Amino acid sequence: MTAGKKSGGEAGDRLRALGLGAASEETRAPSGAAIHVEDLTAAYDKKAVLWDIDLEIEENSITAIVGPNGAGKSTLLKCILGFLKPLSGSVRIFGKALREVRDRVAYVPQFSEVNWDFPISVRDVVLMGRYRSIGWFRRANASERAIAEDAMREMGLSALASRQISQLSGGQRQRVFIARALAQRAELLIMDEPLAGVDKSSERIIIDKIRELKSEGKTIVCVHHDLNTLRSYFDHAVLIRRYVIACGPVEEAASEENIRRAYEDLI
Amino acid sequence: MTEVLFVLLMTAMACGLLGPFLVLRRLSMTADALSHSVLLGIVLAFFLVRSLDSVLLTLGAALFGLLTVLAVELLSGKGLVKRDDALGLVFPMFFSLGVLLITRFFRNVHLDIEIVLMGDPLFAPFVRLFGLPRSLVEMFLLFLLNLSFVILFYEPLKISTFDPSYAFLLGIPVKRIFYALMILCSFCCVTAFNSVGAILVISFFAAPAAAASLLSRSLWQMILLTLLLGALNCLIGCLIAFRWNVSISGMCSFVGMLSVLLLSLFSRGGILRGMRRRKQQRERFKEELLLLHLYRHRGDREETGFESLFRHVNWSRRETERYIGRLMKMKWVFADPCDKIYQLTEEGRERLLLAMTA
Repeated sequence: MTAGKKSGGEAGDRLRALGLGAASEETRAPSGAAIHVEDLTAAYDKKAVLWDIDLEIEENSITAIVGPNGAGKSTLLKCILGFLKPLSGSVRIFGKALREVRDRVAYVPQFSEVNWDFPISVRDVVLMGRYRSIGWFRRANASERAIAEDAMREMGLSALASRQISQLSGGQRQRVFIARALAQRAELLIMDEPLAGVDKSSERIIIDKIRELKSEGKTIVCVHHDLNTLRSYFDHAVLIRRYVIACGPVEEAASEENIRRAYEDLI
Repeated sequence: MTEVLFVLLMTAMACGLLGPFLVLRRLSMTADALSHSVLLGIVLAFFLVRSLDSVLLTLGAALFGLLTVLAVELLSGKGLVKRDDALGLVFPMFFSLGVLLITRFFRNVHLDIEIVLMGDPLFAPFVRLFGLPRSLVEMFLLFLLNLSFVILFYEPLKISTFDPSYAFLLGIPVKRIFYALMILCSFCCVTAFNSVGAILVISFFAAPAAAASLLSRSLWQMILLTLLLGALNCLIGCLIAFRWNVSISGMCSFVGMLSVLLLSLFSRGGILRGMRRRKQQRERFKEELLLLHLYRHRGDREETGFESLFRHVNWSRRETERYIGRLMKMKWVFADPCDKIYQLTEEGRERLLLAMTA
């Protein structure tokens, strides 16, 4: 390797190999994206988890956030949803701050995150999705209840409506969370691994629903683990490995080369 | 005597309103820590006002309860130590400071260690307010405060207890609700000092709520059941304590723990039911396994023979014969006397098909 190459020798090459080229201008242009993340760096204690993330998630897309374990996928979601305050950078949702658009955003957590011994029925969990329109002191009226019933029917949960959540299987639990998000009637659905630990029939129901939501003009963002189903389930992808490796339509973003860079040990 | 019982009942009611939230949020131990560290608040406030009857005492104590929670959140939030360990660090420090101050300066005051630790509701009726025991009035006010908190904030409390991150996203002030809960909890601890003492107040929060959680299907059901069970514990505890002349608060707590133990053994979904269900399941599997074995090796004299079957399934001879006996009684299996083998009947095949396709 000769000294004095275009951009600063061996270190520059290795940085580029990490995917750290100059940030391209197109990701910086503000637009009508559903989610716009700019210059985001996040850290827990000693270690930076996300480095200088710039990305844009298109409206009316089904976007997967993909990357190896520890790549910062969940951290990215936490920053987008405001659970974690980033060290730098900003997140805009529909061009606004999260607190201005709460009613338009729904979130489906990983189902390991809540207390499943809580004494509550499926119906009451789904009704939580109507909290913002019911308000904190009123009781749900008939129309609010009807919305919740619809959401349960769409996720195939009608027969389980009065069941205690502690008695549900993994796939059913995941569907309860999705039904709760549906009941919110949000435009943007953010899901943390909705297909992890879910049986085949639940996976089918969830994927069909996601496609239907897209056809209704909504935007769906999922953290996703399974590379085999990436291209068939999603139309856009964000590959991350502490920094953004690729972001765009799934065919381009999830190219062999990008996947290799995301998953292979580089250093 | 009835007044003593009323003081205890009111304590159980006030604590019982918060108990379900503490248990469901797995905060019982935090409440325990609060009940200890408020002692320092009481002692320091006593330095200022030199009276045990001042409302400043309650406020000072609640302040230290809040400080404990803040310190624990700060320590565990930084990731230096785990939450449980942070609790274990903070409250003994506050508590021991309280104990040191008492033993150094207040040896002759009624603020003695034994009462502080163990409490004694028998003394409660001696301090009176509006013609009623003072603790009863205080506890009743606290009960009203807790009740209005739970009723007013029922939905946000429920959602943030079940799924805090979702609650946060809905715009519910999760942190503020948490601290409000903790402040009310410290008030309870301080007020309960006179009647049940620092150590046992936790059992008024945790025991009825834990027992109720085994029985209830919704949050409001759990709250009502907690109140009911709390009252029951006090009633039974008091009666036994009067009869045997033992510590009243001790007996109430003991009865509370006993009720949790009994319920976890005998309730629907309890330990005994679970054991029986698992045993039945195991036996059914074994029956089905025998059916499958006899079907797959049908006609094989070695695999299905009277004298050799037990070796192939690797059970004892007695166990094998017991299960074969059951299957023959159900008419799923018959013994073929000329070949000395077991065979499936038509019903047995149908039963096997059912098991395989279920």
